[in-house]
Amino acid sequence: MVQYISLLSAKMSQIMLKGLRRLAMFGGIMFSLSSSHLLAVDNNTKTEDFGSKLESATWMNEIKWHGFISQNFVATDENDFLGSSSDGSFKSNEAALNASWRAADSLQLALQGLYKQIGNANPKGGRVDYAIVDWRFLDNFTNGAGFRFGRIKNPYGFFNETRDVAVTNTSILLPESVYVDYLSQLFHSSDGAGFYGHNENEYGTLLFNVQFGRPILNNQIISTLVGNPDTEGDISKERGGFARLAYEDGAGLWRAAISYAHFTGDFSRGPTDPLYLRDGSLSIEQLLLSLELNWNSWQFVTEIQRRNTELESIYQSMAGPFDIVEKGLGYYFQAAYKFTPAWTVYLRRDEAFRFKDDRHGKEFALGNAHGTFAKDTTLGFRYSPSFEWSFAMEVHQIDGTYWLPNIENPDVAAQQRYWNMFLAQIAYRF
Amino acid sequence: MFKKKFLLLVISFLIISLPARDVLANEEQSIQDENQIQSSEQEQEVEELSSANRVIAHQDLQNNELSLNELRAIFSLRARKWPDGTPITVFVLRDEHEAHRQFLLKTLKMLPHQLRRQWDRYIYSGIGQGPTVVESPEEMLSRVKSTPGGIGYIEGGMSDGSVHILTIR
Repeated sequence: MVQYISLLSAKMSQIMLKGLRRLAMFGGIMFSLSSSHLLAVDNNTKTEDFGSKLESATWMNEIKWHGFISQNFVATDENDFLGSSSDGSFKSNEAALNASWRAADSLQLALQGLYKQIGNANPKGGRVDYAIVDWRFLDNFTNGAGFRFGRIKNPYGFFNETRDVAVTNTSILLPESVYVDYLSQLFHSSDGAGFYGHNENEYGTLLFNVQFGRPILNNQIISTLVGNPDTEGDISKERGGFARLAYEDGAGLWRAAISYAHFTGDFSRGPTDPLYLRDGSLSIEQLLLSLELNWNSWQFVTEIQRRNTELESIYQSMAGPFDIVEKGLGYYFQAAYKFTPAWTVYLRRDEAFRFKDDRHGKEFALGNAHGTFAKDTTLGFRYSPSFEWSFAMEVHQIDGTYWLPNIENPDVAAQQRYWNMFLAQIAYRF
Repeated sequence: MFKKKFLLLVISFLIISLPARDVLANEEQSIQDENQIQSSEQEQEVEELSSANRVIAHQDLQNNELSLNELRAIFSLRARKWPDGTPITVFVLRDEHEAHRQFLLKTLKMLPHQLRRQWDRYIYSGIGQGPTVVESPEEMLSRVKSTPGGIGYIEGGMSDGSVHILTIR
């Protein structure tokens, strides 16, 4: 048990208290801003105010504005996650503003700008999160179908599309086995086109999505993909394909989904890259099964994911180029209980394995064995007193460093197998 | 040693969560209502008699009745057009409003947090629009009255005949 560093060690509780104080200050500032109506843009009054000033521009009245802002505090006893968390980190936050306009009965335009910080990972600063032209050609009480074009969130699992909106998630961190934060961009959204449809039947709704496009990548994701933190290489011809079939019970008692994602790209090595890297191609294929049950005040969610990674001729030895094929596995089970509509307590077990046939990394020779798996037990609570506000705290007890990012922990040999994490969150939306 | 500390943490979480029970005791009733959803199908008749909410729509609407599934498709914002082609505008009270919760639990027979989840997906991923939120039952009535294609709900007592009352099959 020596390897377990106590979560409530004196140093960590000091960091936690300091962090919570600063978070409370941040919350106070947010609250005073929102009550002074700088942030609280109530949809109706806002559009009406706009309208009185711009009576001629009636379409301005029809634009709906929404947004969100959240700030996390992260503290770890070992390793760093989302910034230098061993000293307490605030480098995990996001803010977004979106507008949507029903230009015609069957045509909708939507745009969202997002500022998001994921520890020290790039990109920093703001970006266009989505920009969608949605044309619905079929729209009646039984069926609906349409096309979407632009930068679209990828349909994947239960939570991919709203993962950034803190208030909509039960937990602060989504289960890393399925929704890896540091790889989120790869599968989060893409520039392309999609088709969607739904069918209402007696007991619920069947929903279908398919989407193709170019995922938005950055250097840090490239280095994660080829497993070399210093690569100057580039990825071209990146393509992503996504499909999801889901069924939702009419009363909301249960829902289930099966999702498929396939990413391909060509890697070209940078001029200063080590000689074992060469030009090649890579492919990641993911299959995800999702199930959620809502029973009285209980909610149970489970998702299980298979991931096949193929690096074709990206590595070479003296004998020539060779391929690497990895078959990974991840799953989680989460139980949440609502004491009242506002108070939720949740418990989750989340396990991820880089090699599904070698779950302890015994045959892995290129690094820490504990870098091939991560088993995370999370306990937390969320308090959402209103539509706008939400507060959450959670603790993680983790065995393994699979999804621990090298960018925060560059000395791979120093990564600790057993570590604990505390997170607190304050979130506002409108 | 570690297990002890972990247990301590679990207990402290429970302590933090417990006051919520007392402070928000009046909310327990609504949780119980939520629980009724499971048994609601059998007790439909009883509930219909006691159901205080009525579904209202703009006067020009051709439909006199809707099935529960159609009503769910409308309030889940999947169905966006009336059969005559008029765009549907959904009016709701705030999530915390008791009349809203009662409408979801008793008339729509849906778990409130599940409907909210669907709305959030539309609002924050750009694939739709949320419902129009009104601040009071009076505003609900006047907005539905003045919006062609509008649909909303009111509590039993209030109606002045200027809106269409829909029967839910």
